[in-house]
Amino acid sequence: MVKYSSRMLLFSGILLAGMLLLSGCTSKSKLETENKEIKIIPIVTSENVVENSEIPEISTEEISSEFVETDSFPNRTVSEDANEYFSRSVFVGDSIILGYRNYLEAFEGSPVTNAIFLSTASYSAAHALNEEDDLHPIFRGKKQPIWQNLAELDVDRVFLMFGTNDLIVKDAVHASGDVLALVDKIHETNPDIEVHIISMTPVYEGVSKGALNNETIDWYNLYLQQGAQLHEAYYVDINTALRDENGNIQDQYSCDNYVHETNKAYTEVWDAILTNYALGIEPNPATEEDNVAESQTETETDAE
Amino acid sequence: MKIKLNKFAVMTVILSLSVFACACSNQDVKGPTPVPVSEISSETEGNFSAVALYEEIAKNVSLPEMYVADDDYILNYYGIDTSKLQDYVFESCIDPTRTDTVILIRLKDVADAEEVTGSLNLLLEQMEAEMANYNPAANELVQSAAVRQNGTWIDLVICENLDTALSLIDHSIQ
Repeated sequence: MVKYSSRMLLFSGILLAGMLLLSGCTSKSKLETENKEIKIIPIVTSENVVENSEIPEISTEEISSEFVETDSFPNRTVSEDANEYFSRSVFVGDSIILGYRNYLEAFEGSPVTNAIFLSTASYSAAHALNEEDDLHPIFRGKKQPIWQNLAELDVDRVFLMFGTNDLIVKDAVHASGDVLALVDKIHETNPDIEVHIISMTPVYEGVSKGALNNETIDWYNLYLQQGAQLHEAYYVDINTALRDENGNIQDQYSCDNYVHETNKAYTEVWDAILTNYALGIEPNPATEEDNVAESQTETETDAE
Repeated sequence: MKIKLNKFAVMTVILSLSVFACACSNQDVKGPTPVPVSEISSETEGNFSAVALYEEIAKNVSLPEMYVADDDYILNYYGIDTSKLQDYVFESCIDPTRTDTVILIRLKDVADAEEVTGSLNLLLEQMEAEMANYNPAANELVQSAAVRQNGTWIDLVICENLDTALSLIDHSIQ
């Protein structure tokens, strides 16, 4: 992680520009695309997955000035009652979110229990963006795009978690771009709903399928974290608490030595972080320390 | 005095053992307390219930760790109004990469059968779509499964020993 942290910082601005351009997300484009079909970025096959080193450089001049100014949006809402907070929340995602839903159905005691889950195995942000997709979750007996479900629900916020099925077929820039495009689509159709992006969680040591590996996941999460604010969304870090010192998911939290997680992960990490998040308790001091450490490393490097 | 002391000692030992037992059991617990099967809806007028039938299946068929879906869950996700059901069991595997499912429903009115079988067929189609390029073994189980109706009874079972499970259901319903 530390080894490539400086490279990550150097490229972050450039790649952020690419991500934003790919997701078509300036305030201007939001207005222009209203009531129009959203452009779907074609799926890249596993044979021609773009490696991070091959991501085309995009000039920072290509970033609209309007864009840079859009980073002021309201603070996220919090609650003194986590149960109440999550009873007004929807979770959207793939089999990792489905696993969380199943865990919550099977066990009692989590404040997240009353949330609504719209999740299917194999689901990706690209699937979610495709109005006619076959994998949209069933809700109240019908399949329809997420933003339509949200429009029919009386909820305050939605949590999105994608990445596993996206990174198998796309690079981190395109995969995160799809998530941010989905954020925009939700804002267009549900302007009063807060959108929260959950980080992708780490995979087991050695997992590498398409661009699905822990190094790319770190990039992907960085793009999401930076893109979230520009797309008026909030970012929740679940990844850090699940990983070991090498950036892999800890053994105790992996149920299949691949991407899926144990009930213990959902109890000790997901429930704990989300409860604090609902209550407005800012988590992850470790991340802040890492950031400080990275900044110091950068400063030292610059000084040299 | 001697008797009181002995009682106190016995109580202390019992309390200590209880605390010790709780501490030991917590080491193996991966989450909060599972919802017991006994909490499944079990109102029935017949000689056997969907719950009893499920328990019979669970004794004879290997099932992974399952969760029990309640009224809200079934209505929210599958659009089935449980007030129309005489009796039901709706259990699915906790592991999201598997599709093991046992759904046993007895309707109050057979006129609602089409609506309920339609909802379960949508669920089955969803599982097929999910598993098609994801988990071949699970997909094979889904492909073997079907929504069946026999009078007011409707079932959808997805598991490895499907024939055994279906035989038990057929035998019970007859």
